Formats: sequence, C-alpha cells, structure tokens
Amino acid sequence: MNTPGLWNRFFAWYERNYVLNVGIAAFLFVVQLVHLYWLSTDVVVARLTGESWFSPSGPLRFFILIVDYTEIPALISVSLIYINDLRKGWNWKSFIFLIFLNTQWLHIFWITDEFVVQELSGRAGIGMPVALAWIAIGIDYLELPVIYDTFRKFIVAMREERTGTFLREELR
Amino acid sequence: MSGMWFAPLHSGLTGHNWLTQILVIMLIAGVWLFIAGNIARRAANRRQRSTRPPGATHRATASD
Repeated sequence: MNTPGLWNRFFAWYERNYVLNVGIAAFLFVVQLVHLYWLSTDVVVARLTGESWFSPSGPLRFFILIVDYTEIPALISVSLIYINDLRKGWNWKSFIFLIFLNTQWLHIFWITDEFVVQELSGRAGIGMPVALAWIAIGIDYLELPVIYDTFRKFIVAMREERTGTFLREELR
Repeated sequence: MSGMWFAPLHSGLTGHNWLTQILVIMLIAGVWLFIAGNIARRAANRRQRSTRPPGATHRATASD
C-alpha cells in the first residue's frame, strides 16, 4: 500500500470537507465540558470542601457516561485538525495543542478518573500517590484552551465557507 | 507501593466498556461519513446544474 499517497488523499478529502470535519471535532470536544463540569463540581469540590456540589444520578449520570465515551473520538478528531495544520507548515501552537490533547491518553489508560475519584474521596485507592490524581485533573484541564481554539477554528472556517459560497454563487 | 499501575478504565462513574467504546466510535464515524457523502453528492449536483446551458431542463438524449 502506498502510505504517502493514502496520507495525501486522506488530507485532500479532509480539506475538501474542512468545515464539516472541524465542526464535528468542535462539537465532540465542546461536549467534553460536561465531563470537566462533573470532575470539578463533584470530585474536586468534594475534596476541597468536603461536600460535593453535583452528584449526578439517573438519566443525568447516564448522559455523563455517554459523554465519557465520546472523549476518544473527540481526541482523534481534534488531533487531526492540528496534524493537518502542522502538515501545511510548522507552528508551535499546533504542536503544543497536539501535546495537550495527546497527554489525555495517559489519563484515559493510566491515571484514570476512577483512580482520581478513589484517591480524592479517601476510599482505598490502588496504591498510587495522591499527587498523581491532581496531575490527572491538570491533564483534563489542558483540554480547555484546545476546546476554545477548536471552536474558534470552526467559526472562522464557517465564515470563510459562507464568504466563499457567496463569491461563487452570487457574484458569478 | 502496591496495587495496579495500569487501569484501562476511564470513567469515574461506572468504568469503561470497550465494546461500547468501539460501537460509539463506529457510530460517530458512520454519521460523519454519511454527512460528508451527502455534501459531496449535493456539490456534484450543483456543479452539474451550473454547467448546463440556460433553459436546459434535462439531459440531451438521442431522441431529442
């Protein structure tokens, strides 16, 4: 299989559908704010004040769980935005955001939320230092600047597409 | 230090089921490709319409 050819064809398709691709990535990533809200108000606040501000149950708990399952697709789709940016030309911002994004894998596979909840709630943990729980929370918050930037990219792409369509269709 | 250093579970609420995760990824990819395909089809239709001469409502055939 011709890997460079496949790579170029994939990103040619990606560029043709840029607004859609950035839109879906932005949507999946903005939805992760729900997870961050739960992490902050249930886990972190309970640790800092001794009382949780948000204890989801029933359908709300189910919704947060669904959001959790969209984190991996969000990471992959948003990584593609920055890989595409870097493919066009090197820039530190895209590189750093790509690092921010992909440190999340550490949190998904190793210092997980389950561990964070156990450690910060004082329940019998799995033997890792508590500081690691705070590192995991810090990693989760690294998503925030990338969420903002992805959403901004979507708005800009949509505006450019609209202008492009206007020039193509109306000013012919 | 004891205990498990690697726990392939993400959610702090109920843990993670990898079969569900794969289904969610496939569902999102399916919806994504469906929308992209539709956009491409509509763009192709638009291009085809814009290349037809003004007033033409259907493709020319041998019987025309």
